[in-house]
Amino acid sequence: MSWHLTHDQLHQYAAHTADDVTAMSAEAHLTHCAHCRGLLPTDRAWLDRSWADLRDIVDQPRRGPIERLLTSVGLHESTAKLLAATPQLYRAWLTATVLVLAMALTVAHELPRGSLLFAFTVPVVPLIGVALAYGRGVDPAHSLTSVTPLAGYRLLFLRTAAVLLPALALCTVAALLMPSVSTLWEAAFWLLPALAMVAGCLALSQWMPLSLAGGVVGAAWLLTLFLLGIAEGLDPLLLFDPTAQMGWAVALTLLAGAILIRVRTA
Amino acid sequence: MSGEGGVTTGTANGPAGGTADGTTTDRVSVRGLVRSYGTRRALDGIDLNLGPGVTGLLGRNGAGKTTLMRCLATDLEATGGRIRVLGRDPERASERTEIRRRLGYLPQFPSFYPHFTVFGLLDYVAVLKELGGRRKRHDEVRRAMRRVDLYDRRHSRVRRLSGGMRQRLGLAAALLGDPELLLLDEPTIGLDPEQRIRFRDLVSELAVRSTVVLSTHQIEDVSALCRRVLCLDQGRVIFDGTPDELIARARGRVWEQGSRPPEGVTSWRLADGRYRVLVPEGAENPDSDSRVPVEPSLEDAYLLLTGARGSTR
Amino acid sequence: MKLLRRARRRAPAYGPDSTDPVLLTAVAAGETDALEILHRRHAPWLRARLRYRCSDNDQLDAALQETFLAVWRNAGSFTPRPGDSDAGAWLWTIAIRQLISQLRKRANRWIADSEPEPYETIGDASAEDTVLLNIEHGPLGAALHELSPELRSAIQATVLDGLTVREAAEILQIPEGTVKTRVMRAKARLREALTT
Repeated sequence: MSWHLTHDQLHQYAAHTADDVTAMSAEAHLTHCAHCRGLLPTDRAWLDRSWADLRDIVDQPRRGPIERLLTSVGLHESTAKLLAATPQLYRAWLTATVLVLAMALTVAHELPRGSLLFAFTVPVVPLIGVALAYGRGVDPAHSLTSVTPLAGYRLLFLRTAAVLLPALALCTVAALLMPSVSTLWEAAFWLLPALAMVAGCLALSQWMPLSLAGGVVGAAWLLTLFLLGIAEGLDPLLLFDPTAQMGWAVALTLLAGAILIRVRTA
Repeated sequence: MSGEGGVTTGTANGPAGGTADGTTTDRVSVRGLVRSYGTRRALDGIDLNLGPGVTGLLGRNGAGKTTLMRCLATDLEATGGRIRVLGRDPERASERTEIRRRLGYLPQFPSFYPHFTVFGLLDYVAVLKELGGRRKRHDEVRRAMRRVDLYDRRHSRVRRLSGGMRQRLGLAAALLGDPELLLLDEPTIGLDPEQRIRFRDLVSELAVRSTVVLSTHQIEDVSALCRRVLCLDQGRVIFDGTPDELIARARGRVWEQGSRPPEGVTSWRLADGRYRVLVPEGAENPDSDSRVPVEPSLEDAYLLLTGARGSTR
Repeated sequence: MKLLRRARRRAPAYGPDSTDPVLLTAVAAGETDALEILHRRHAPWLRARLRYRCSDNDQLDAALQETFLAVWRNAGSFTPRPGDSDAGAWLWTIAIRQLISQLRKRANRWIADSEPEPYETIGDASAEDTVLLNIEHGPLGAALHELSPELRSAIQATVLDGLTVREAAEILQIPEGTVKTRVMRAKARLREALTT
């Protein structure tokens, strides 16, 4: 470059006070002259801000497919992040759920009274998922996150929701595929027991780890089935008859109330 | 200070425990803390007050260091006694949340989601720490990664990190949000010597503003960093003072000599064939011919303190 | 956001004094630090220059951000001319087009985007560029001074900024036909001034 812009020209140009022709000349020159570009007065604060904005676009944590999906359906970015971080056990549970439901369906279609197995399995599917969603032992990063302000009920309920929604969806689909089921109402016999057991598990988690609470509730379910099975004149299917459904509804309401009160006072 | 604990305060009958009772300058104040697991008392009546600066927590495995850390970190509830962290009561949920906002905790064996990247994992922790909107949060995460020298590895997956890097990742997670109280449980495990130096540098810098509690087996870390040492044994505080005070206790009891001392006296063979001997209070060291008194190190003093238990009480 | 992060090529060694092509190669390999150096080096003058075309700071900064995002995504497509290690001209063509698309976004907020037309450029920009470099010294400077502001801005947009007729029409907010006639008239005047 045989010539360079003068100090005054550069300052006028940067201050937007150069006349048209000077500006054109300066621009033609600056396009090719690194030396003069370097001398152009610069707003450092603006430059830092501009870079910080840009950096945050080009350099972010990678987001997985689930997180992107959740954001795209309108969830808040941080909520999506929390939900997507539900531990890997959750994936294993999801796979297991699909397999178990498929198996129970096959049995129901192939064997006489095979639908009993399905009826007694479905209500615990959400429970197992919830039990595996939170807490020491099932969440690898639990020790790192257990003493953060959001840990505790917020995270617990988020994780519960993350498990409950797919679980209920899967179970509903499976129930609709059952033989001799024609209405949605007939397919929903398991819903109240399942929700009541999840609520029971959450309520118990006040005194014990969530996974243990899930185990306790699950064991209680199995024990009830067993007792009803061996008792004279009783049938495990009583657990789903209209009277029992009322009982489940009452239990669910009470447990949900207890959890709410606990959360409010917490 | 809100609420009175069930235990009367200000009795301070523990060993060397009490400065003045829970004044507001103390970031941490503990009275008669008990934590039981079944019938075993992991913590058995701890009294302590911590102000700014670095406090080292020494003790053998099972002495109660981690239990104490977890109680202070609001991760465990006390079975008895009273804890105040940053002037708040961890037993009340709202105050506990407030403590957690201002706390950084590195657990003893931090574990992570292995498929997360460094940046992603810290971002996740930052969400849980409520560190603002995305931009602000990312900036804070970047700052933490730079502080522990992980910035260049920010897009590496956690499972590809070495042990020392994971330790630094845990430290970065603890540093997020510039906490007023930092509880670091065995932070230097897995760090190589250069990283240890960097770590000490970082902790000294943090200690200007924050209170740091450092539980460790590395006595060199304590002598390099701590103005104050707490020694725990069987759930009790058996020493509370400066490193120099601890060393002073050992003066005149550390020798180097030609023969192995009798059973019951701590000693080890040195490279030159002589023995370094730590003679506890009340014990005799019969080899008076070849022995030479030496200036005790902090490690000698610590070993004497823990080795001498029973004979001093 | 990119769905797939680019496969990591080996980044060359670089520093604050590296040339633009080296930095761009590093950016193509995913080095954000290299992007930062480029940003510090080029953002100020690009911004100063864009300010002569748009007075709305928000749009300006948005255009500039898009410019560097485009650099981040397409750094590999930069091919330096032999003997010229400067990316200034390349960056400017990106920046001015990003500004136009910003302005277009605002203008067309309520209107469906019209069909893109084939671009049409006027004359050989680089040849005239070299003439313009001597604006202040040669008779061209005086000739430009003589031009009316309208003719001058038409020359500026098409020759100096290297825009197509359509783009020039958008940034000057006049019909394309007017751009063409103004450029032709301006060139005639300049030729006249330079030959007499």
